[in-house]
Amino acid sequence: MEPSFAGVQQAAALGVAGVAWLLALGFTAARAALVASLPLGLAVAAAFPPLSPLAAPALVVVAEVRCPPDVRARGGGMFKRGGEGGLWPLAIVAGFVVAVFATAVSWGVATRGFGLSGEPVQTALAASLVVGGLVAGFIMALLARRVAFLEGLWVTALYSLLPVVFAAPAQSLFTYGTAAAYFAVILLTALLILGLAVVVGGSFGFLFCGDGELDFGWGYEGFIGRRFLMGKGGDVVGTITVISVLAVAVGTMAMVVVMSVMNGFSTDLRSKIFGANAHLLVLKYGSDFTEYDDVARQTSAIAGVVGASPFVLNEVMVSSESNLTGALLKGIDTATIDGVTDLRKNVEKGELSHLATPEQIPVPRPLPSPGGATEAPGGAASAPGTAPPTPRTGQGALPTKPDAALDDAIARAAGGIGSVPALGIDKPLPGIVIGIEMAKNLKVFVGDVMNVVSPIGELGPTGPVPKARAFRVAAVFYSGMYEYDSKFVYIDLREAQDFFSLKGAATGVEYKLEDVDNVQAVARDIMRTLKGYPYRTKDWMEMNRNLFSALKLEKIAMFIILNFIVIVASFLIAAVVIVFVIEKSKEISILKTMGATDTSIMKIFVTYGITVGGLGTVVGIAGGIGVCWMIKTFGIGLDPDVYYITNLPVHVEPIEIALVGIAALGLSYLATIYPALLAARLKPVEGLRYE
Amino acid sequence: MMSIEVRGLTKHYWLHGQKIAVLKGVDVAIAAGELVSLTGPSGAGKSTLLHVLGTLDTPSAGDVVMDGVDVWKQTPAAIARFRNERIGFVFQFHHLLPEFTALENVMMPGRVARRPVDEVEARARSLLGEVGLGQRVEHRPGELSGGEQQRVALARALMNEPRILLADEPTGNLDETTGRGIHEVIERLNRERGITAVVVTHNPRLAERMPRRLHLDREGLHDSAGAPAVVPATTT
Ligand SMILES: Nc1ncnc2c1ncn2[C@@H]1O[C@H](COP(=O)(O)OP(=O)(O)O)[C@@H](O)[C@H]1O
Ligand SMILES: [Mg+2]
Repeated sequence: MEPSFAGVQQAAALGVAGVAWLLALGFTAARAALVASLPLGLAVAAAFPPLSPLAAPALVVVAEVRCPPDVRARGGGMFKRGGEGGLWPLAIVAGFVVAVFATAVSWGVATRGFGLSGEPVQTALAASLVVGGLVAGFIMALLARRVAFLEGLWVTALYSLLPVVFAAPAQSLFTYGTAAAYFAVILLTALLILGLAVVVGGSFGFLFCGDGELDFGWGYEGFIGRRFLMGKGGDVVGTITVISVLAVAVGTMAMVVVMSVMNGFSTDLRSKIFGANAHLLVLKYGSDFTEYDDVARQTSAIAGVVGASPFVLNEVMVSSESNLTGALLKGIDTATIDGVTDLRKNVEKGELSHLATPEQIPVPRPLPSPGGATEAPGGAASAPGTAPPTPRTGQGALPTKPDAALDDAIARAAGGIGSVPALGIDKPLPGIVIGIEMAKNLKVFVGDVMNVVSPIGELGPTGPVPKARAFRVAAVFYSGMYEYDSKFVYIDLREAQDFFSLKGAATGVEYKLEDVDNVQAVARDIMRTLKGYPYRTKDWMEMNRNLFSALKLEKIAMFIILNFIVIVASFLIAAVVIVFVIEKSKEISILKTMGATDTSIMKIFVTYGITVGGLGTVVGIAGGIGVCWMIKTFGIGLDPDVYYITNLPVHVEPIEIALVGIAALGLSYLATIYPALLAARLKPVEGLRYE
Repeated sequence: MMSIEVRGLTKHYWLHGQKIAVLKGVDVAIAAGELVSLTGPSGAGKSTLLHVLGTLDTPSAGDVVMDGVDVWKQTPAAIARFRNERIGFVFQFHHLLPEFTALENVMMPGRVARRPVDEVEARARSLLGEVGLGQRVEHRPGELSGGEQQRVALARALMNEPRILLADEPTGNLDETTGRGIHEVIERLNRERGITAVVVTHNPRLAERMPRRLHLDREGLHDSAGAPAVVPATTT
C-alpha cells in the first residue's frame, strides 16, 4: 500500500478518535457542572466542542472542591458511585480492559484460528465489539452502581485510539485499501456499536443487579407496564401510546421500503453485471497465452467453478454507413461462452451461433417503401446501383444466390465510412454481435455490414497502418446496462486472434462461479492449480471496484440516514416515557412503599417502552413488506431513458429486515433507558406528599 | 414480632441551598406489639418521622434499627424486601393505583414479593371480604367512595401479613363514623395478630383510644405522660 494512502487513513482514524474524545469531554463537563449544582444552561454550553476540552477538567475540579452539601448528603459527588455520582474511574478501567480483551480474542481467533484476513475479520471484530461492549457495560454498571453512561463514553474514547496506535493492523482489515471517508465511516460505526453495547450492557447490569442482588424476575413489572399502555381509564389504549407506536412504525416502514428498493437496484445491477461479465479472469503476463485451452481444462474442475471460456479483449473503432464509435471488442468462444455469461440469453435479434457460421446470417429485409428513405439515408443513396433486394423472410428463406447478397452488402459497406479491404468475395464476411444501443447509434440491423478498425495495425511503408475489417451483424443483444449495450461488441475468438495478429494467443480465460462472494477462495485454488506466475487472477470486485464500493457506501449511508427517522421516533418514545414518568410519579412512590425496588420500577417503564417499540416495529415491518409487495405487484414505472430500467425494482432481503427490526427495537429500548432510570430514581416520599 | 428503635434521628431538607431542619435528634423505641398514636401540629414532621420509620426516607443523621438490624446499612434490595414483607402503610390519601381494580391493588404487594399469583389472589379476595368489600373487587378506585378506598388501602397494607402498620392520618379525609371504623380495624389487628402499629392522627378522641400516645412538636417527641419517648427497648 502506498504510504500516502496509509497516511490518509491514519488521519481519518485520528479524526474519528477526536470526535470520540470531544464527546466524552463534553459529557464529562456537563456532568461535572450538574454535580456542582451549576445552572443547566452552563452545563449545556460547557459540553460543546470549543469549550469542552478546557471546561471538562476545570469543572471536574470545581465539582470535586465545592460539591454542595445536599448533593453530598445524598451520596453524590464527582468521583462517586451510585445514582448521584459523577464518574467512577475504576469502571472505565474495567470496561476498557474488557473491550480490548474481547477485541484481542476475536482478532486472534479470526486470524490465527480460522486463518481469515481482510474484510471477514471485520465481522469477527464487530461481533466482539457487541459481546465485549455488553459484558463491559454490565461489569461497569455493577462497579459504578448505575448505568455507567459517562464511563462508557470514556471507554469508547480510549478504544478509538486503538486504530491510531495500531494503524497497520487496522488498515489490513481493508484488502483493497479504501477511501478515507469510508474508513472513517467504518471506524465511527465500530465505536457506535461499542458505545451502544456498553450502554445496553450497563442497562442490563442495572436492570438485573441494580439493587445489589441478582434479580431476573420480571413478573408484576410487565403486568403494570402493559397496563400503563392503556389510557387513564385503563380500558382503552392511550392516545400517546398510539401516536408513539405509529411514529416507530412509520420510521421502520420507511427503512424497509428504501432498503428494499436500494437492494432492488443493486441486485438488478449485480445480476446485469454478472450476466454480462465473468466473475473471475485468469490473465497471463506477456502476450503468449496460447495454452488457454489447457488452463481452462485444468481449472474447470475446481470446486466452485461453473464454467470457463477463453477470450480476447481489445479496444477498437466501429463504423457503419452513418456513424462511428469506440468499442470494446471481445473475441469469444461460442462453444463455451454459455457456461460463463448470459450473452446468448441477452440476444434480442439474430443468433449468437451465427458467429461461427457467418454464412447463415440473414440478409436484411427491405423496408416498407414509405419508411425506407428515413432508414438508410446516405448509404443507400450513395449506392444507387445496387439491385433492390428481393423480399425474404428470416432464416428459413436464405438467399438463393448468397454471392449476390454479399456483393450487395459489400457494396453498401464500401459506400460508407472507412474502406472495406479486399477480403475475397468468395469468403463470407465474419459475424459480429453488438449491443442494442450501439445498433441504434450506428443504425445497423441484423445482417447489415459494419467495419471494425483496430489501432494495432500492420506495419505499412509509412509506419503502422490501422487494420480494418468488415463484419456482418449476426445478433443484437440487450443486457440492460447502458455501458455494455453501447460499448461491447463480440466476434468469434479465432476471428479475433486473426484480426489482432495474436498468433493463437488469448487475453485470458474467464470464469463463472457458483458463489460470487466466494471468489477469493476460488481464485486462490486456481492459482494453486496453475502454480502462480506467470498467471494472475482478477475478480469481479477488482473489475468493478468503484461501482460496488460506491454502492456499499451508499447503502451504509442510507441505513444510517434512515435510522435517523427511527431515532426521531425514539426521541418521541423517550419524551412520551418521560411524560409518563412524571404523570405516574405518585404510582411509582406507592409501588416503592410496597417494596418495589428501583430496578423493578425501571423494568415497568422498560416494558412500556419496549412494547411500544416492538408494536411499532412489527407494524412498520409488516407495512414495509406490504408496500414492497405492492411495488412489485403493481409496479411503479420509471422512465427507461433515464434509469435504463422500466420498473422500480424491489428486493426484500430477510436478513436486512431482521437488521431493521433489531435496529428499531434496539433504538426504542435505548430511548427508554434514560426515562426509566428517572423513574427508578424517584424517591418514594416525593410522590406521597400531595394528593 | 418486630421492634423499632430510632436513635439521634435528625432530618433536614435542602431547599434552594437553604437547610430546613425538620427532626432534631429524635429518640424513640417502639416495642413489638405496641399500639401507638402520634399527634402534633401540622408541619411538625409527623409524616417525615413515619417515613423514616418505614424506610421510605433516609435520615440525615442517626440510626434506624429494626429488630436489632441497622436498616440503612443493608443493600437497597434488602431494604425493599424488608419494606415489602414487614411493613404496611396506610396514608391519608389512600394512594391506590387508579389503573387497577380493587383486587389488583390489594394483590400488588404480593406480586411485588413474587408470590404465586393464585395464592395472592385468594388472599386478596379474603382480605377484601374482611374489610367488607367482597362485592367490589372488580371496581376501580375511581368507582369507590373515600371510605371504601381507605378500606381497600388497609387490605392492601395487610397483604403480606406485615409486622408493622404505619398509618399517616388514615382517617383525616373521612367522617367521624367511617374513621372510627378504620381505627377499630387497626385496633383489632393489633389485638388479634399482635401487629405493631403507629397511627398519626389529628383526632384527639381517636388518639385517646391508644395505649401509648406520642406527641411531636417543635421541642421534639414526647410520650403522652410528658416523659421522654425513650422507653427501655426491651422487647416483650
Ligand atoms: N421533600 C421535602 N423538601 C422540603 N421540605 C420538606 C420536604 N418534606 C417535608 N418537608 C417539610 O418538613 C416539614 C414537616 O413536614 P411533615 O413531616 O409532612 O409534617 P406533618 O406530617 O407533621 O404535617 C414541613 O415544614 C415540610 O414543608
Ligand atoms: Mg403529614
